[in-house]
Amino acid sequence: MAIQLSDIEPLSLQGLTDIAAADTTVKLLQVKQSLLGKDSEFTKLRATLKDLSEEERREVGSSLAKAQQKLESAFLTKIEQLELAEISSKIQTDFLDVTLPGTPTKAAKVHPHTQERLRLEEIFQEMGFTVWEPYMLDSDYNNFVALNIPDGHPARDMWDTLRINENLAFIVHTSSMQNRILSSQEPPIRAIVPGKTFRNEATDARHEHSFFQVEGIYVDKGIKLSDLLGTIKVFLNSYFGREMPIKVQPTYFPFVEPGLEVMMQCPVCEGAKPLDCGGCSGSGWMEVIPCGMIHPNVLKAAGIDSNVYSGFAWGFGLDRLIMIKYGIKDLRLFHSGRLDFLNQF
Amino acid sequence: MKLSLNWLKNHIPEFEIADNEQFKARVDTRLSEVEHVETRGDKLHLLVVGEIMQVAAHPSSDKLVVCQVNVGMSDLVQIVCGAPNARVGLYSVAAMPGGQVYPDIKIGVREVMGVESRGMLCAMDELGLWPDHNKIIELDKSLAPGTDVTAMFKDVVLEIENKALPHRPDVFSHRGVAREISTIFKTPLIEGVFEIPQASASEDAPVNLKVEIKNDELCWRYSAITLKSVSVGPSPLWLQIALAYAGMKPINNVVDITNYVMHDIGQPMHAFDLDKLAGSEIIVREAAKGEKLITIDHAERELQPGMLVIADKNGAIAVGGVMGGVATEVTETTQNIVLEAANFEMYSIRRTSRRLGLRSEAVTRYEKGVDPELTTVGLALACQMLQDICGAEISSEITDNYPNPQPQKVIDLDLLSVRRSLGVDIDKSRIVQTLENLGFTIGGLEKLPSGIISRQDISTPVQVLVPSFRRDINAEYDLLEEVGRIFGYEHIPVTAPKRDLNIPAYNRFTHISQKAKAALANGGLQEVLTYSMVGERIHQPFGLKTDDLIALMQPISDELAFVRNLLLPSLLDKTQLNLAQSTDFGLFELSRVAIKTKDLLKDIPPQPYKLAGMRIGKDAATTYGKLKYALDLLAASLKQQLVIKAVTAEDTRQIPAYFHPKQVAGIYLDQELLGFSGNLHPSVLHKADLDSYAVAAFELNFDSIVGLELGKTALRDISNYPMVMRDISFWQKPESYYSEILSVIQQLKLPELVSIELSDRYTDKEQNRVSLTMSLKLQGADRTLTQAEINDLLTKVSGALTSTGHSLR
Repeated sequence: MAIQLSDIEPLSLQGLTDIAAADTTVKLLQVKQSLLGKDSEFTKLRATLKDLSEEERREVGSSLAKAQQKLESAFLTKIEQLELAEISSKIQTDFLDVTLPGTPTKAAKVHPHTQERLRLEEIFQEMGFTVWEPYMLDSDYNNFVALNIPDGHPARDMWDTLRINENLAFIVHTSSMQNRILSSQEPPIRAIVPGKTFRNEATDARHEHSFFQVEGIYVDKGIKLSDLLGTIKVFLNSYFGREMPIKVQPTYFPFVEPGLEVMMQCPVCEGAKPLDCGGCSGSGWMEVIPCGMIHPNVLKAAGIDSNVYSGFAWGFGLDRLIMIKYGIKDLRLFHSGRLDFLNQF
Repeated sequence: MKLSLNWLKNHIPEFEIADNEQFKARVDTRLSEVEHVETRGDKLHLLVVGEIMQVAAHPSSDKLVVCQVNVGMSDLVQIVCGAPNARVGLYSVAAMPGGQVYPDIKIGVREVMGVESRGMLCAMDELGLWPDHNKIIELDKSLAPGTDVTAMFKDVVLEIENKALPHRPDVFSHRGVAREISTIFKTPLIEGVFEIPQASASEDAPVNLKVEIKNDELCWRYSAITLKSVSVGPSPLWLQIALAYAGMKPINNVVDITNYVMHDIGQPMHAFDLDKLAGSEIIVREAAKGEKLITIDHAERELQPGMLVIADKNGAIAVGGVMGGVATEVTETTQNIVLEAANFEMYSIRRTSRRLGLRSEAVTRYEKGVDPELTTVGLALACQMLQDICGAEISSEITDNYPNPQPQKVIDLDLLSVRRSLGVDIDKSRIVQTLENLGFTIGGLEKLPSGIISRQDISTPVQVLVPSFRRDINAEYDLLEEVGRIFGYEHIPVTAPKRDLNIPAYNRFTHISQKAKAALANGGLQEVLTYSMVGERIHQPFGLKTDDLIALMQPISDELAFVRNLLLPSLLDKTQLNLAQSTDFGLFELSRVAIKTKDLLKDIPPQPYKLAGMRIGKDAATTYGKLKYALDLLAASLKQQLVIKAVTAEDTRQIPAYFHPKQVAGIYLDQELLGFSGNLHPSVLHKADLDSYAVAAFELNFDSIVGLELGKTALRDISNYPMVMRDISFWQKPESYYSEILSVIQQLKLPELVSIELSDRYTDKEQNRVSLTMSLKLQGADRTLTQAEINDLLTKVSGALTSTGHSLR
């Protein structure tokens, strides 16, 4: 006899009841077989569809498909439930003494950032700088206002900020610690702040939304621009282990004045400038350290008299220095978690 | 920001660029990085003005027409053209046979679908002006047909990134950049002379234009004038080229003139169609709540209080300083216009632009603080051009509403502070000359009859009068930067700061984290960095809801929508990623996390450091054993102050549900629970499609570890009496912990027991029991232990074991 529309409903209801009643995965799989398998009523009914008129076939066929879908989805929900329940009941007998001494295994590596940070911190500590850690989320005041960037300042466009709310955001630079350090210490103040910073940025080989910066500040009586250049030169030469030619360009950051960009001669082509140079794309130079003399408004916000004291600050990208040092071509590798990259260091 | 050299030369006529790269390098080091210096128009040849005299249908194409074009020769030239705007009377640019247009198209005499064409009428893109290929360029009639215009396109265009100079509104104009180039390259700058326009004598009554500023905090100045008999049409070619090279699309002569003035001197301008205004009174006020305006980009904008609008008596006609409205826009039929040059408070312009999500060239300038003295200069320049180009006549008095004129800024500059601040000696007269070239006036200097300042006896300090266009200059240090950058930072020597001998403060975090990381890496875990922002996806296997996480306002993606509060989900994600390469490895990470608190608007939430590790393998015991090895090394590196032991009864409630309840231990520092170590719950593995694997993991609060004192150790006196070694073997009580065995024995407080460690362990599978062998080292501090003493010690240890449910073998 050909299938009737009225055949489907009871079959489907019975199926749902059977699925609900199954209390082990084994039983459930049997239920599924008998409901939807080769010899099931459903399969038999479907075989008789061809005996119907085209119009009936469309109507009945579609309700049959719907019923079947419903059963499939009920089955999937139930199997997930039973599997988890079986897992939970099994684990009661699965005791393991997790306090036993461990089993020795092959050593792995620390991240290149950790290795390079250690070296960098050593250099700066030898030069008298204290190391500070930044927060991950900080206030608008520490991210911007204390750094001479009031709300509505057009320079805020220079940082694509990842905000939590109007007051709280991921730090856009480790300069976020400047005010805390300057207002809690007495000059002479020498500090570096290595840490992770965040920008709302589309990622590619040269851009990342999460990257590392090293902020540096030096405040004392009689600190001048030439001292900044000297400090940076000593750092770059020690870090790369050889004399690194630099040049300086004006740039603008609201928290320094004058603002400078220290460029380093491209260590890949050593200034030969081939157009296909992987380091500098033919310019011969790389921007490595944006810096400048701390703006008097920043000193003032931290309660330091700018008539008596002056200072300099920088904030450079750690990732970039490491990329230059090792010839790494893709910035995203640092956060990739890929063992084939990380185990080479 | 794009600048045309030809345009700059209106201000610095003697200036030439000898070499693009050298020019760029010098501007890079004196002003700001130049992105590109590009030669333009160099591919164009044989371009003339052409007037279309006749247009006929093409015999075999619906889209093409056959034009007869006057190119200044005795005969008309036949050119086939596909542009919909080809029409009789149109002046356009024709490329003649032998000529060339972009991109590298050589023009010849050609048959176009069977009709001869002796040249080409050019679209904007073919002329290298604008990416517009739909129409041929339309010109005004100021150049006669046949005029060779090829040379007009030859120029050099430099581009400076807008973001690079957010403090310098003055350089968002050709005049401002010309002033810089004049100072950098020592080439004279022409001072412009602008006459305030007067209404022309006319029979008509002048327009009675009124302006009322209702909010003078947000609108600092509003100057306006009306013009009549304006003939709106295409701009002359020079103007179209100038604007296109500066990055603005030519629209019509009136709009082009306002844009030209903006790019020339930096004053944004707007022209309204006077006949579309209700009355001739302009009101500058804050928007009413819910007030609406359709701007010239045809979007309806809902305005809010705090936003400034330009209004007539019926309502808003423009968003002040941001964009005009479409209802009063100048169109081809416009005859009378109101020309506006205004000045607005910079922060409010930026806020309005942000709230509306609407940027414009005007906003780019206003938000940086345009010189309020420029409005009337802008009107003068624009009126002159409207008269010359559009045949317009001035039809009103100038209305200039300037409630609070800006005072002249005067700064005392101590010439010696240059040395103190920059660390270099710069000649006094050079300092003074630099500032003068940049537009500053130095007070109290004697002028020689020739007009040159006497450089004798310049005494310090000098009074520096700041020009109104340099709103960024407020104090001496601002002047020092000007002197320093023009002098050239490359001439500044390299010195070392004079410093004390103080040693930098010891940083516990750095010290301990390096130790901990080294221990975990030696224990087989690879350090990774993962994103601090997480999404629903990686939390799902852990059965964790994202409700407990701090959410971002505008996340980069769903995967990066929350700030994480634990590290394990990120590590599991990276574990899965690496499975294609290995099935036996471990990872760890040390990172801050953030804990959600109630008032995130007020408080900075706690952001403790967490240390987490994870290891994947095939078998639960082996995999965990390897992870535990890393933890053992970690504990050793911290001088055994960290203990991994059975979770105390009171702490069991805190065990996260994602750990296997029968395979989890606590990580303790004294009594303080720092975290857990164990195998992940099989349901987590199931949801992560890792059913056939075992995953061991730990996560702990690192902040408590950072507080550890590692320097102090209680030392035991060295004994020279013999050391005795004894083993004890026993069956471990089912479901008991090795850590408890150690602790039971330690509680005996036996001074002669120097050390105890596990030396053998095997599982008796038949009887499903585990045998442990512990090696004891016994030694007397002041004597050789007797056999009786040794036996007594062993009895005590065995007693402790049997009394806690273990059975001796």
